[in-house]
Amino acid sequence: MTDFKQLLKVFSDAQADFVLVGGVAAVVHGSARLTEDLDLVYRRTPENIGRLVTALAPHQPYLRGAPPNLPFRWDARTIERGLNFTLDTALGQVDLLGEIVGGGGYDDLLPHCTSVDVYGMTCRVLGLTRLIYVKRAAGRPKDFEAISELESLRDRNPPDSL
Amino acid sequence: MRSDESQDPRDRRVEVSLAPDPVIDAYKAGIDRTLLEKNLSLTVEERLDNLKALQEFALELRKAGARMRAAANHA
Repeated sequence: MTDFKQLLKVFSDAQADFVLVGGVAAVVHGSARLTEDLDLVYRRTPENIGRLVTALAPHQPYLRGAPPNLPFRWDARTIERGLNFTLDTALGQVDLLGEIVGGGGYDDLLPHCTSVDVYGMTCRVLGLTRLIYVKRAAGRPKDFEAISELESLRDRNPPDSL
Repeated sequence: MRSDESQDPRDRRVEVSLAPDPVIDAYKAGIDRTLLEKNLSLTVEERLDNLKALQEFALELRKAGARMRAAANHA
């Protein structure tokens, strides 16, 4: 089970630059669907990668679904040489995404974000319209129902209201 | 829904239309709008708290299912 509150606190306390995307962003916008992981698009600067590495290190990040005892090192070099990481941690499942299909990276997403105050923190969340856009871009059949729900929310609300 | 089949997230040439899609629209008939209205009446924090409660419930159901299957296998 994923402790969303604690994970957000970990990244927020580290002053890491990230955008909430995926199922949790959908919940923020009003979705009623269950999601099990926290999807973040992170800024790929050396400084920010350093913050993420330091923040998550105490929580035993490891590649989700990978065999145990792989020589996986959670450090800045690993993050810099990779892009998207699906992780299990002691706080739950986290997807650290350098880029997403249809959305690009952190700086590409910034103009499409909104800020939300939650648990005493301010987090950037991908706006509803862009969230629909990237889910459509992913083109996964499993997302069709989620997209229909997000579009229903969009039709119900002014654009990107929370 | 999209004009490019590439799954490479670095590919920014993906062109996406937000125009109505008949497949997506077909799914909309099954959306429980009362749940959405209820969620929209909550704060963002309450929505995330509900997600956590839903996760806990799902976990308990999975455990119960595993116990049930184990008992059936031993019967």
